[in-house]
Amino acid sequence: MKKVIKCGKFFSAVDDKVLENIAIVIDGNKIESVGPISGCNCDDCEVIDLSDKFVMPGLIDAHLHTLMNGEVTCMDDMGKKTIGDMTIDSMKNAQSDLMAGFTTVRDEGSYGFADIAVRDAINAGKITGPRMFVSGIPIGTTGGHCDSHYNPYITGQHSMGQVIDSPDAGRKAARYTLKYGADQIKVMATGGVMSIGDEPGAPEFTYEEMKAILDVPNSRGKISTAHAHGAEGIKIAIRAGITSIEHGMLMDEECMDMMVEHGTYLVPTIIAAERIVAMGVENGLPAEAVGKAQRCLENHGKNLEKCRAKGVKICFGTDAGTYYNRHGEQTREFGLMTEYGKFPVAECLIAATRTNAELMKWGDKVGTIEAGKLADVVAFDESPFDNIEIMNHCSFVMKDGVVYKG
Amino acid sequence: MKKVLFCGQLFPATGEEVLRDQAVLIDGETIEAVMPRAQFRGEDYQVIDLSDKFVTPGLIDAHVHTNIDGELNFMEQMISETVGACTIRSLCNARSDLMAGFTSLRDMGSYGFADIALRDGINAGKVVGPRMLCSGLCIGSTGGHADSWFNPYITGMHEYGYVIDGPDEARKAARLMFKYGADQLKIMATGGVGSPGEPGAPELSFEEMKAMLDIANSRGKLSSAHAHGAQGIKNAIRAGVATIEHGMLMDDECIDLMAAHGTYLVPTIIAGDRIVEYGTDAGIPASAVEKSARCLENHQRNLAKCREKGVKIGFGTDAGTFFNHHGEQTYELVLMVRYGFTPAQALLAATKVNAELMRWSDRVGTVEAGKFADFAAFDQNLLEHIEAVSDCSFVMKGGQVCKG
Repeated sequence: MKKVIKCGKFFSAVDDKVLENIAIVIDGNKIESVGPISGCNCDDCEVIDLSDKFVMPGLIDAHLHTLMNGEVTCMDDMGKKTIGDMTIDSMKNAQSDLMAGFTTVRDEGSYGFADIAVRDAINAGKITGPRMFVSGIPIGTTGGHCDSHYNPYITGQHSMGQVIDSPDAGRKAARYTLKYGADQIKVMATGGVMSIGDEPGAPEFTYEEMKAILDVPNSRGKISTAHAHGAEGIKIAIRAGITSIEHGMLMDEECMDMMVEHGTYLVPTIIAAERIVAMGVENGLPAEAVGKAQRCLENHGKNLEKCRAKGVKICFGTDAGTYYNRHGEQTREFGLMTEYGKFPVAECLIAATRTNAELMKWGDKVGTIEAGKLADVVAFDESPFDNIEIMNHCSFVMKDGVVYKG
Repeated sequence: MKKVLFCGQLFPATGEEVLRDQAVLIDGETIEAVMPRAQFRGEDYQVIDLSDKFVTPGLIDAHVHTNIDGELNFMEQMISETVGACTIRSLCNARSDLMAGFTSLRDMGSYGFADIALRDGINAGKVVGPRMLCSGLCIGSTGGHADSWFNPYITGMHEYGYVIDGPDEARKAARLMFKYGADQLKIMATGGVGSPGEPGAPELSFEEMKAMLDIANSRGKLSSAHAHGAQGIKNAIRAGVATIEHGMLMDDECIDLMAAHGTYLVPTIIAGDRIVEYGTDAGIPASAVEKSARCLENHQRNLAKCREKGVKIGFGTDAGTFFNHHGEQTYELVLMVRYGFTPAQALLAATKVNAELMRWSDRVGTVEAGKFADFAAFDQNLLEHIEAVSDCSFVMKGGQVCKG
């Protein structure tokens, strides 16, 4: 039986307009047509009445980690939990994302391929959850952002990612990750906030290593993504052929120009640093992480404004899973985008829908409400154009034509 | 809010009687009281009306494998899939069991500790599923029922269980299972049907079993032995095992030993029956079909002797083995009746006796005040129509309705 959603306010994300009294006709898991309610002939359809709501495409979070959920102990947990434990946590966290309105998520790195197991189970209909686009295991260097910090006598697979130290090892790591079903390659181009003893400003790969890794996804039509704060690491990643820069909190103007020139996407993840600064050492966070997050956040707003002015393609991503940055609550990034970087509301919404879909090369499937796209639709009780914080209170979720909430 | 179940017919599993028109009062996750419905005066109770149903305690399956579901290629599947995929399969299978009326399971051996991850996820409320008592990895010997059959140049953890040879390795293996959260030990005392060995032959020495079982027994933990042949059964009992699984090639001395030691027997008739029933036509290896036929040959007669001699008989199905699908294993109750058990005996095995076997009788297995509010309900009186057990219409676990 077909369904028709009657939308009071309607934001298709095709452009920045808000329309009123629109009907979305859904056949199976696809959108059949979109048009004024008055002209909609769908007598046999099941009616879903959202005439008092603001309706938009299912949200997409282009940067999160389903295996963790903001625990202060999340780094230590990785060495203790079994892959089974992580799989269950990943599933639970992904379900929290779905209930918050994220019908699609890009997992930016897991452990033991738990992300891939969850993606496959969701796709097979074994469990419920969002559409997942996954990285498998991130790739980094010795002592880098995805290495562990156990003592040198501890062996085995205790680093979050694959640690490589040469172009050859990098190439193999990329092939290995794709072998086990990753949709993209995630690399750690610079140090990070939560990792101990590394420097967000400093690059962690040589250009040759980065190039060897990225040639693998690029030759296969796959995308790639770089955790990168410092300017030098960002530039190495862009020159080596990266698809998206994550965080990018210590960039310079040359980075911005290069991103524009290469069509590189930027995923700002403001919330990741903001949570760490806001919660601080008094809530059990390591002083090193708090210090680094403060430094990262300092010019982030200003840089984002410049990126917008220069026409960098900006996505929506949250790094949900990092300290105090919990799954299902990462919609706070919308408010933060209006605050840091002064994004107009429409730009925030388009980042989290159409732009993210394009980034993931899923623009033919999701990201806008148009005939032929998958029926991923969410709704809110108020218009975010009036109150951006309403994004934290998603009241309706449909994925693939199936209602999960509301 | 408190709940009350109005039960048309209630089999509390405290004995063989069926009570009519009962009210079971539930406070949170436990049973507050059981009384004739006419005496119920409570206010502010949410009423769940099962007055046209036959209500039993939540069923317990004391022998399942949540990580497999009757696939013919489970060995290949196990080595080609990640532990994550295995964990999700375990979750789906455990849910199928729950929906069939099984509110408690004893998992008799998994891979990658997926059973334990699932148990912990359920207990933490992260996922919905039955109560689980887990084994972690089964422990067996080289070439035995827990080993894999890959060529000698394949290395890594590709065995179904954990392979040991010698008491020292056995002791370490037992400690390792408990380290990673196992509730009990599962050991492979003899060959099996689905593996290349001989079910009649022992696969662990008495000394190996003793070394493992001493670990479990010294910690007050449960243990269980996959055991068909008589010698393996006797070795396991003498070494201190708590339960014998399958036991299909036992002799009279085994029966006497079980009675004398208070060892439980879990017959798993369905595991043999499914293989014989489906046969080589369905793609089951000829060796497994032949072994199953041999295992089933005297099983009924031996079970009758066990009952006569007072052996404690639990209910278990080996759900997950060839064509023995999760959610369909209530058929074991029908088979037990066909093999000479009364319906009440079969139901008691799947409730009260299994709770005792699992040392959980303080919390599950009967409908009594203080126990967890775990229930299954059926459309017909199972003492009159045991086949109706395949159609569970209501499931409650810990006071939460899971079905119906």
